[in-house]
Amino acid sequence: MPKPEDAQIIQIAEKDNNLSEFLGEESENMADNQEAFEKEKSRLSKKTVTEGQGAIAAGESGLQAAQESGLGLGLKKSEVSQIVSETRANQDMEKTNELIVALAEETLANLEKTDRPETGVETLALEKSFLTKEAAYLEMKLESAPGLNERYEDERGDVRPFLTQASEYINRCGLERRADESLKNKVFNAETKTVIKNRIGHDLKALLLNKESGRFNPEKYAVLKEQTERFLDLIEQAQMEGNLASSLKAEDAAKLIDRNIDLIAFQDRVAAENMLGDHGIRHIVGFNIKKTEKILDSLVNSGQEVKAIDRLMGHQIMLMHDLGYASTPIREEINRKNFPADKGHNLLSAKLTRQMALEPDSPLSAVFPSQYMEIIHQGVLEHDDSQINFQVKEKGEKVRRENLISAVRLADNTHAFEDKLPELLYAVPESLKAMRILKAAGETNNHEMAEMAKKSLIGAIKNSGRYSPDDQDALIQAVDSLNEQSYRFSVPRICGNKPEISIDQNGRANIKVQESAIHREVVGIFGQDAHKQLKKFIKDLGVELNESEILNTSKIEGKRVTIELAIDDNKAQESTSYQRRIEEMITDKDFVSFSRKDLVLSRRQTALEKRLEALDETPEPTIQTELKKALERYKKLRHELYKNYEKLGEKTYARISFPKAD
Amino acid sequence: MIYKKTNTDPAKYREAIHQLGVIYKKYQTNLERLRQEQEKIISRLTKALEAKGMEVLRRDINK
Repeated sequence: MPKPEDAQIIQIAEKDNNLSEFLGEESENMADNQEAFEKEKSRLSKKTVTEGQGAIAAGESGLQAAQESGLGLGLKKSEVSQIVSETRANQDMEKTNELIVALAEETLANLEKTDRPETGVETLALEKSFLTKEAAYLEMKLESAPGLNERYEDERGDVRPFLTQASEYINRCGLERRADESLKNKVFNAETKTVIKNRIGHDLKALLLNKESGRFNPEKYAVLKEQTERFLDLIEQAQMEGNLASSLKAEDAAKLIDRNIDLIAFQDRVAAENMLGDHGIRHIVGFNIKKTEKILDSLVNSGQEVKAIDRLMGHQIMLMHDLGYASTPIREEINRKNFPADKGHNLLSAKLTRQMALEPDSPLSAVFPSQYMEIIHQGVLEHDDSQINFQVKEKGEKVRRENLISAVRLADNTHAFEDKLPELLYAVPESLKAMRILKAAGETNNHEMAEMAKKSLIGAIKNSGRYSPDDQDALIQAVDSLNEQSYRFSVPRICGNKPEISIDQNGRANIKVQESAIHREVVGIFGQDAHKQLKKFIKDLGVELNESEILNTSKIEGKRVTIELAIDDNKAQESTSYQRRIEEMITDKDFVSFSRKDLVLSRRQTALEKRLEALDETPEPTIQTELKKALERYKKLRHELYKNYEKLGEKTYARISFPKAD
Repeated sequence: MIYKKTNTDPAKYREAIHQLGVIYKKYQTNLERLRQEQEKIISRLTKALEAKGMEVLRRDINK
């Protein structure tokens, strides 16, 4: 049974016998028809003006001729004037001329508002292509992403509810979206670009420098402003390079800028309320977009052609690649602590991209013609694929497309470290302490300890004076989602910072990763595997290695990548501002002392638990009872250890400072 | 929910071009009516001037 959206295509195709031939043929005809329509509209508009002007001129000259004929009959000028006045000829002619002007204006307006028919067949072909790719992705991921089918088909993840939520959020920050009258009927060029640029600051301030009703984060404000300005410059450059129409309406470009800002602001707000790795401005703009541009720069240095339209698409792909995380079907599940629901988020992002491209009056499609929308949709759908294939020898559009998709994947897959931390852990380093206590609370089944840790952290957020009420709401929601396991996925990210990437003359990606200065100390506090995140990082790039290979190899060679590791003695000597904030904690004597002692007790407790588990198979009641008693003693000891720390801890929370970020 | 544009028939273009023609035809019809109005005004004036001219001519003949 074909899907309803396919049925229409099939129906048309049956009528024309051959679908592909039909689509190709009609697509070309469409272009001709569009041109014919625009030409006809323009021709009739001009004719309306000239005929109206002609009629007025003819009336005036007829009136003039009549008066001259009067003089020819020997009448005096005064006699002619008197008759003109008596017959009200001048006034009547004036009124008639006014009616002609009004009629012409009405006609011009009617011609103007007759819209060009939408390119239905072309749109359906595009939609068909998007749907086919999404269906293939869904089939591929169904096994590894349980429930993806339901999330994909969940109408709450459709574009309308999504955009409504984003708009409501923007309005709550005090920002109202209205069409800019000064851009009406103007094309996008250097002049209108400046008009749009000038208002970006105002909008971003309402969203990101707003301690009353928005968020407050100067770092994010600066990075997003820079990116948005760059986006506008790239549109202009793409026009100059002939890839975007010089007739692009300024209003459409402005609408896309507004839409992009709304989307990223909304995504950032949603990202702040959970403990997943960041999917907000830090990830999307601060890392992914910047890294994509750097990879493209590197390709240019290797002699490859990169156009402004490629960079522009790179920005647009990144702005949309994680939309799925902010859509209700995933957001709700994550907030319910069902973390695996993020699997296959690409598909929900791609669905939103498709629907945004095909919605009526889409600002996305107004700026990006369908051939570019294809690439954007592909980039969004396949962004986390580890396969990269940079081409430096060949040239052409196909090669540029492949390089862009590879750059997107590589950028996204290399964002694995410090600034990918969840917002709570990045913005409130104090949460590291809470996570450590939660680990102990979880292992000892101590609910009171867990609640106390969360309560103290919430107190630290509220009293810091650093966050707006909206920031606080999001962060407190994230605190609520903290559990004994939260540290497992977050803490290892502190092992490194931004990796450096370059593409060599053979199209091979070289990635340099340096272990961070504080990595060992931090994982030590939690008793974690020192290289967990590095291993994950290498695996995400499509290379499988064991622990000893990582420790003993400074250069890891994959199929298309070389990963250079600088760990242990070669680790970074200088700390980032985030690390300095963390250092404040890992050098806190009371906290370090609590963590170390607790870790010793934790290991002994785990050993006992394992022993007890093994005994379950062969019942030895006496030993079991003894072991259980010992276990309880360890749990009690750990609780006492915490109680002692908590007394000191109250002072510790109070003295935490929140230094400004770089 | 799938968002799509609904005009799938290429004949819509012919219809739209026809629609432009209809608007223009209506304009021409109304403009023609106003042109006739103009002619009536001119004709009324011409007749009045001719009548006056004849009156002046008769007066001169009768002198």
